[in-house]
Amino acid sequence: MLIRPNLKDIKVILYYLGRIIVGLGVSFILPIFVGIIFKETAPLYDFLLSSGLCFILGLILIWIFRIKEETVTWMHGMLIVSLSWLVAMFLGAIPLFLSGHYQGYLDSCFEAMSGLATTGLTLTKDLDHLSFTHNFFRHLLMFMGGQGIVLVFLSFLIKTQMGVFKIYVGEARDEIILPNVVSTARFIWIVSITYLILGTLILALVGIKEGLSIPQAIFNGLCVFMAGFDTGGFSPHSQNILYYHSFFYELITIVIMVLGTINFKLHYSLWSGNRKEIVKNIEIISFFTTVMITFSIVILGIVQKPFSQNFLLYFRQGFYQLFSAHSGTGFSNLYSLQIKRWSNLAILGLIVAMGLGGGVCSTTGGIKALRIGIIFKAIVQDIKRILLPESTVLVEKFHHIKEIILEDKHVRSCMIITFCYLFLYFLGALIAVGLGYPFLDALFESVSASANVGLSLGITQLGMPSILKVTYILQMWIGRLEFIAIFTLIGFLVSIFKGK
Amino acid sequence: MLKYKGVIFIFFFILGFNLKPVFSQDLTIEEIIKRQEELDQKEISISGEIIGEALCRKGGCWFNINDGNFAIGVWVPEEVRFKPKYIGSYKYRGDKILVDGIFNRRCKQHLGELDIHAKKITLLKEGEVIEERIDKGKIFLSILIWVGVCLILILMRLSRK
Repeated sequence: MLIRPNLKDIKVILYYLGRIIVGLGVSFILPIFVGIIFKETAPLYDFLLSSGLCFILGLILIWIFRIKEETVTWMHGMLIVSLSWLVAMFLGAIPLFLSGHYQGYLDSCFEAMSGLATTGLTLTKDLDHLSFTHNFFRHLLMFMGGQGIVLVFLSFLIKTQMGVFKIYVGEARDEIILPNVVSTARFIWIVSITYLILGTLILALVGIKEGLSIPQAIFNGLCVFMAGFDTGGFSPHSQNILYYHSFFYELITIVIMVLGTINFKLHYSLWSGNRKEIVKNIEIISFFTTVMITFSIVILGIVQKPFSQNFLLYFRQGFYQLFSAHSGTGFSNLYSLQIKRWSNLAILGLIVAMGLGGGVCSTTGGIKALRIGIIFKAIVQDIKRILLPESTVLVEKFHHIKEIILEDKHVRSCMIITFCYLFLYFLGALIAVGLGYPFLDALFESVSASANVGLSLGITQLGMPSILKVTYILQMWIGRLEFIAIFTLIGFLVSIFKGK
Repeated sequence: MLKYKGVIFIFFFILGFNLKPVFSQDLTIEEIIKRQEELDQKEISISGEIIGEALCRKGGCWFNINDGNFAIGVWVPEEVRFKPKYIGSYKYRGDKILVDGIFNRRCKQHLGELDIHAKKITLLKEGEVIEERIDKGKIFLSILIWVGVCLILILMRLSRK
């Protein structure tokens, strides 16, 4: 039986939504500083206007739906998250739309969701003439989305630990690093900001060495770091990573992608001196194994001459694309037209890599390495059960920070999420095929959107049908939040009409 | 007969020194990528706007050229001696140039990049400063909205009292 939500439920949700919108308004002020540094005037008004709108909307919601006690249930947490991401998309699209570099508001929404969900598919017109202010904002959206927009604001605004935990889980993070969520969120921020400073500095130095001017090197370094660490894949230039013509720059982005792919819990272990964890952790083993398998598939698909002759070329092009796909980043040192010319086998390798994704509690999308590892362990356990005598008591363990006994509940939750992802991948592909695109291209783009990767075979472009733009927006949103928050929203809407 | 010998000599002379056919027509970058096997190591021409920055390194500079649809890296060796006046960005419309050069599908000099090595660059149209147009409506609306924000904050404070 469905229970119709009462007014108090709606008040709690809208109150928190108001606080998040105010937080968004604050974040919209940051690009204004970039605009001032680069002496851009017109874009400042786009952000002043959008920021002000956020404040008005947020403050009105806080004022009207003010609640005395912060009682956040699981349902509230999930609904706050799912709605916040939609609202953030609509509000984040405003300054982008005002830039005049988008065909319409739908394209701006697509770009905003692509940024927030750390996907990296883009519909920007004439990106090379976009202002520094707007370009920085695109990357800032990725940085905020990668950490979890709701968590970003609420971890500093909420007093009750329980409320934040329910929101934290809603944003597809199912692991707490430190005893409470607020300190976990703050640890995530410390890690991210430390890497941001270091990464920007290194990229800027390499940029200067490769011929960029100092302001451009810093700006590019900052943007590329935000897009790489948050496994987003936007770039300040239409050529993406190709723009830099630098193998060294590409190598550094691989390191940044690795950092973004690793579970924050593992970062904590490494920061605390537990370096052995890196070789024992099921997630790392699973990720490394699938990277090697999919890389072999890609190499088999693209090799045309004896391997030894072109090893560096295959590494530069094949491995870069593969790792970018597997980590869910979407950086590319090839044109989409070049990837499209790869054999079906190589493209299939990329699709599988994109679909699998990186670590849980990281900034990547997709099914995730931990789930793949657990499912694999469960299959091994079942095979052993058949082969060993029936009286044998079989205990399978996996190592993830500590030794954990594999239980049915672990396998069940991993299987559910895996199934949901597979369903989402094929549903998106089906819609694109229905619109006349070839199956492999449609599957590639659908997986890229759902697993928040951002590589493209050319379907994502200004002229694509609006229905496909909406499909990809939904896929990016659902894929980033890992289903549960979205299912709760659907259930909530149904219960409004059918509940008792 | 001597006349024919001359023609035959010229024919073989050209053939001997230039075995590869020349694709001197102005191609789009999309066409180049699509026909990369056919055009590999051949002389081609492209035109477009210089964007971003000149990335100067040992022996030359990289210029990224955008033809309105795609952008491609053009390696300009020092001996070509080209210095653009405007490079495309938010504030500038970059110089439009015509590049004559060799297309490389997998450039040996640049670790397998797909690029063009310029032999000659011709300025087609000088770039210009893009005037920033500030929409007065946006200024007015921004002020109005921020006045609204202040009013709401005051009202919230008053209602608490």
